[in-house]
Amino acid sequence: MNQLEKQLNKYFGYPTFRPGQKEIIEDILNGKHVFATLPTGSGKSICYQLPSMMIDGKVIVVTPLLSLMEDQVKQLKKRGFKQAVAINSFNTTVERRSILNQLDAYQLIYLSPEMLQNKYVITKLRQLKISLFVIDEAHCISQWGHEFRPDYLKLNQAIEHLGDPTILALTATATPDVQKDIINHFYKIKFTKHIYPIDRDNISLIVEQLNHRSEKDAYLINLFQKWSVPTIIYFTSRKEAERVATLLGEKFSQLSVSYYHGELETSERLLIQEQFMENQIDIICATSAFGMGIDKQNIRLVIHYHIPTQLESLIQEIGRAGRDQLSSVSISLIAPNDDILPRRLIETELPSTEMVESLFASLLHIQQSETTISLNQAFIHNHWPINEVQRRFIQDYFAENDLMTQDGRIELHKIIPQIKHDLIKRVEQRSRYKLGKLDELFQWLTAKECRRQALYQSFQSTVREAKYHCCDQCGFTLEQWSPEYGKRGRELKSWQAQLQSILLPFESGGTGHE
Amino acid sequence: MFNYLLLYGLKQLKGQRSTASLYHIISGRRSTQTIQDAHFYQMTQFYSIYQKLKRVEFDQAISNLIDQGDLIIDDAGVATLTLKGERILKEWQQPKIIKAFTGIESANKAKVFSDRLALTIQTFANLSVENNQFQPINEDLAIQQWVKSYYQSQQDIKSWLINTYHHLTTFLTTIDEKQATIFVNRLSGYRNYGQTIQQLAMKHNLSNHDVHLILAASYHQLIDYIETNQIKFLAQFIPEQEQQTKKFITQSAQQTNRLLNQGYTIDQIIKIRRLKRSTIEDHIVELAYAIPNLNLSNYIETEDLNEILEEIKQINDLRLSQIKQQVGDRYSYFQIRLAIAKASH
Ligand SMILES: [Zn+2]
Repeated sequence: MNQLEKQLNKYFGYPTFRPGQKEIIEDILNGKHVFATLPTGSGKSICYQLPSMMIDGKVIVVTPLLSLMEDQVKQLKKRGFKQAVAINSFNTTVERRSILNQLDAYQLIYLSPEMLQNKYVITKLRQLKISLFVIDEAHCISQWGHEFRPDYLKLNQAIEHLGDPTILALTATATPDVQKDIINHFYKIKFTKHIYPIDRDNISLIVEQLNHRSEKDAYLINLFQKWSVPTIIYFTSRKEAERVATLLGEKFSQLSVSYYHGELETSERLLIQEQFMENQIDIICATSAFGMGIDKQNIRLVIHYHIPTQLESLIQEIGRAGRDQLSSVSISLIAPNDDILPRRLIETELPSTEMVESLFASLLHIQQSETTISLNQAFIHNHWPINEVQRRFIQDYFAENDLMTQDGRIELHKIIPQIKHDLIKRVEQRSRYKLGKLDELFQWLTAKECRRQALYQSFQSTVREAKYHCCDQCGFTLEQWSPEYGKRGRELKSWQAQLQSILLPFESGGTGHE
Repeated sequence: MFNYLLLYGLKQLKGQRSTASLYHIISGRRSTQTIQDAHFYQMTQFYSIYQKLKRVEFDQAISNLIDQGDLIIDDAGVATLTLKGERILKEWQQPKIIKAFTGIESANKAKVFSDRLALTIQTFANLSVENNQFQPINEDLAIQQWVKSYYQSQQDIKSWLINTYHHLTTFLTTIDEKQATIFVNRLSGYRNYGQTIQQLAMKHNLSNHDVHLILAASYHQLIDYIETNQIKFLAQFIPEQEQQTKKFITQSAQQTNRLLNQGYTIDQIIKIRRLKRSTIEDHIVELAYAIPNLNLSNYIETEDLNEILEEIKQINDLRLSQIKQQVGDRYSYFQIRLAIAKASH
């Protein structure tokens, strides 16, 4: 075993690296800037977590996914690595202060991009030796990426402030155009590129065209009569996730079925995640809130009861299947009018024309008495029915167009009617773009060609052949499938026996795993 | 069980308070008014038994009861049981576990106790098989810190687990079979995570509220069991009583109490704290509820106090306005409220 593998084994308990990890880590350790695309589920995070345990200076990870950073810090602590910390809007001011005052105690520091706009944070970071600066979800820099984040555009500045550390830019889903965008944005940095294909050759793809919701239910019931493998079923609506979980739970008393969505209490969500990891749950009916940061190797089946709004999200969610590289299946269920839900979702992500009109009327009014005003939530809630995503969109627009003061207040004298028209134009443009992405997804769902080719071709020049079975268009049916997975022993019957297994695991010598 | 609790509680309110007062009592609102109500309407044993209950969930449950014809509600939000509701309440014998709730003193105690015990069981079970990589089921730093120092004080965690196992087995056989099952299902151990409230509700065909109350009651009963049988090593998990009583006095009332103890008068305290007279009076009333032997002689003569207490007994109505009407204008509202507080002990 060479030195790197030894470290990997020591900290993570894996004997070998997954494709790409070792090459990327070696380059980083040699001080090269790296741009890498790695598929979902390939262990992207190891590429910076392992170096953080080995190198002298600190590692900073910028990611917009707050729950992901919280999950990763938790996972690391679970593995015994306590020198990781997340700084984001979840922290209270007191917590944040206390973390920042003892920042030197940490090796791996996760930050949300907006935290890097905070002068106090930057000042504190500048006192440290930063060896590696990681830009996770790097596609957020691109206006044409599916998750554009204006905060990301300011990363160049932050990197400069921090004394030009080694850069690692990572992404899982970036078309070649988006890749170019990212590299161009960091024009000062000479990247070594590590482009790994994002296609997953161990996942077979099926799309089922059905006529009605009731047919989707019937399809699932029929499916679980034959297969009982670790499964995630994705829903857009929380109510539907709960309904189907109850339905399946009633139909299959031998299966453990649960639902998961953002409305559940944190402590209950945590229990469900861990139960799923330990194979205590067979089927989980979830919204997209579930999955990020969940490192379960043997998910055999990912079903989309509802489809997301774009191919990139679909690819990410499908990618949670088969991390152990064994044969796994993705099934998308579609019925007529299935575009209504994602269309509505897209609408709620953008401010409406009425909202913009109303906002500007207000601003012009306030202009007479004030010079600046903060676009904070309270202000907006008092005036318009607007959600947080819509509010951010407007704020980002103002920030990009230099209409904000240093501390994030709108400079009212700069507000002229032209800005309103430009903002409305921007909304329309964004809306067209998003609807275009949705169309792309529907084209894929209804195409007659090989699904694998069609799904991945815009992301890479060649798509590998399937390792097991390809897709329904290429003749794959579930009857041909023989999945492997570790079964868990059924739950013990009496409370006496259960209590014994919980309190005296050293006597029963078992975990309930077969 | 939850519905029973609602019917019972609304009946206790005698149509004198809106349903919101019941919500505040069971969710444990820390206000003088709610603490007064809990005493007035003899529901101290239910105070704060369901802190997590959301207002919308409570309102939903009330409107279900109305739909079922068990309740009617007027425009002021005051509910009255229908004949059907009364009958249900009568037929539905007070379940044994409802009696497990013993009130203000134990409400918070049981929560802290259960959090500490559950996290200790999970931690020790994992460490007993030399696994220190697990996700703690409780993320409350105070609880984690407590378990950590408890662990440091322990020599032999395997014997601890065996002892606890025997005591829990004995305890669980004294309670209902279903209740015992729910109690055990909720626990986490080595590579085995406890069930969520929703999962338990689904499995046992109960409402989420019922599962919550069953679990809370079980821990109240367990505390009782530990105290009765003087199981010293588990008694350590029960938080100190003194700390608890303090918690039921609001911070601000505690400050007022300190000043009173230093000999300041109400008028002086008004100046020092820059608060209104009515606020300071509220504090003193709150203190009168929390401290049975609080000296009230500075505010009301013992003779007068006794007279009001007598009137309260006779009219059997705890509404301030009613009492005031009865005793006439001889006493201030403040004095009457102090008397009512005294009457609660
Ligand atoms: Zn194919």
